[in-house]
Amino acid sequence: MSEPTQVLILGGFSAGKTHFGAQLLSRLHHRRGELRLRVAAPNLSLFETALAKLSQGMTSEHTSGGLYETLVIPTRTTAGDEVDLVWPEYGGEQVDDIAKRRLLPSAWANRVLKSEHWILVIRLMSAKMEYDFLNRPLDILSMSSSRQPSQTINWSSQSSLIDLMQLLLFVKGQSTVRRIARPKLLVLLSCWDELDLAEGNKPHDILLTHLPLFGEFLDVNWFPESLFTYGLSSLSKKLSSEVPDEDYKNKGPESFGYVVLPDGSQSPDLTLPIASVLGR
Amino acid sequence: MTKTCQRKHCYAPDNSCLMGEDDYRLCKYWAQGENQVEDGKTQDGGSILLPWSGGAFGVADLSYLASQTHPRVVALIGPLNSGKTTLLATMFLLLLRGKMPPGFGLARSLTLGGWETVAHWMKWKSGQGPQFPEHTTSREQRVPGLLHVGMRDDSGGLTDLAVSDAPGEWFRRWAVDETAADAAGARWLAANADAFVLVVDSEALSGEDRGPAQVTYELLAERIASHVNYRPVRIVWTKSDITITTQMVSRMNDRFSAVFGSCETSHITVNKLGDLPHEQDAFLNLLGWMLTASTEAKPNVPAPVSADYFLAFR
Repeated sequence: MSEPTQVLILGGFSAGKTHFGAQLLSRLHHRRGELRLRVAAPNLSLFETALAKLSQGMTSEHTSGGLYETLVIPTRTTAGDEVDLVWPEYGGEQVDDIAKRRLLPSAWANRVLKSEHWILVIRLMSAKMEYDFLNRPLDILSMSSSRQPSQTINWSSQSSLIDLMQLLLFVKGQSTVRRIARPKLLVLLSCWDELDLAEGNKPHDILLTHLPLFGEFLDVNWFPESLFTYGLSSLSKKLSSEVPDEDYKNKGPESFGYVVLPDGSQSPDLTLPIASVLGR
Repeated sequence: MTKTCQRKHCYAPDNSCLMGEDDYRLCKYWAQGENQVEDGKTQDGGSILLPWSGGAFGVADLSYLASQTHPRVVALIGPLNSGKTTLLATMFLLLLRGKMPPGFGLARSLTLGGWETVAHWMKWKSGQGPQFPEHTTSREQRVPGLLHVGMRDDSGGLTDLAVSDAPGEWFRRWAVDETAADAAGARWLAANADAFVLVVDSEALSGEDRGPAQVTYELLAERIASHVNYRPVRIVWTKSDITITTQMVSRMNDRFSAVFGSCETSHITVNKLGDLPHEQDAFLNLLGWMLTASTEAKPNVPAPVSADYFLAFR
């Protein structure tokens, strides 16, 4: 029997991977979506708190750093293909760190090499455009005012994301000289409800609005049939970390959460984007 | 960090080993017995190092690009304070907005840190407004170097472009003394650039010191012209919102056309740029020119004047 297909789930700190993971898991347990659980995941301790909190309608604290273990959920598609969902490092801090340290841990590198399907979770609200003289102009004469030199230079979110992708492609041995068919890439725009958009907005358009250069970078490099953009709201609404939500208690967390398909329509099946990347 | 690899152009452990060893310490060129502290960058066995640092490229870094494409080098030449770095910063801020030169899209950049460094002066930081980029010197954090973008055109082909971000002093020294020790960078650019952009400072040519400024530009133009050897040149007037006397403009234009013949000209300004799409286009068109400008057609070889028919055969 061939090895299961590996789907890599990547995202920086606070990108919303914990709630996505927990909600995805409850979908998988209910066995109604495009992906089903194959066997119980070997170790779910990373989701334990999140699952318990969500059952009461509360958000969990951020996954603490230092959780460098790899998390694997074994699933099967409706067609019967075996698929492993792999979170190479749960905290998401290493992802942010890679760009700074310019080193990719070997455990990561092996995962990257093995996988032909990547999912990048981005929370647009935390990856906003910065203000500069183009969007908040200042009278040109007052621009020469002195500022303390050699401040630490913070990269814009777009630069960090582009460099992360370049780095992963380099490790994968995939050059950007030609356009890319493999690995396929799914961009999952998390916390979609935060953006307060009318229904019908297409996720890829929203990506281009919020992260125009990064979106351009993806469009220019990936063949359109290998690039997918979906919106994701794991929780459907904003939950508090202290006050339980009655709806959640009554209906169960599995009744909440939706994905936004490339055409702008919504579906409650959180496994759908992953299945579609695998599909074509 | 002290560089300890004995091989020229190898910057392990900052970059990956030039000889292709996964662990640079196993490379035979790696200096033995020097276990210097590597400011937190200690390599744990199997980690993979990247061949680019994100900062502005040095000359040796171009070899990584050259192994994949033929990178174009564009020399951005102008005296101190003429707006070279502001020009680069503005281009990057426009790219961050998804604004691309006509017919191109950004496929890669291995110097995003370098771009961020030049652009960070033009961003708002906790209450402090944008300001023009810090003066580029060779001593400070801002190492003069090459800023890279790889742009894909509509046919899918990739053009790698490296634009110089170098201090104006280099060029002023070079204009005066071609062999000056501190003009080595300018000489490298003159020898290796695929195209030249001469940045002309409207402010300097309208101010009190416009006389000396004009002399500087004349020397610089002559120096470039003596090296240009049919490579394309473009004149870029920066701070074009500042009014210069028409006499000065026509004097400069006459000088430039006498030196370079006909060459393309841009007028750019960052003043109120956010509201002026056609001013933004001037930056993007300039970037497009950098990506595509090709060697001018060399003049036709004159027909030999000779009675010998063998020599006349072409």
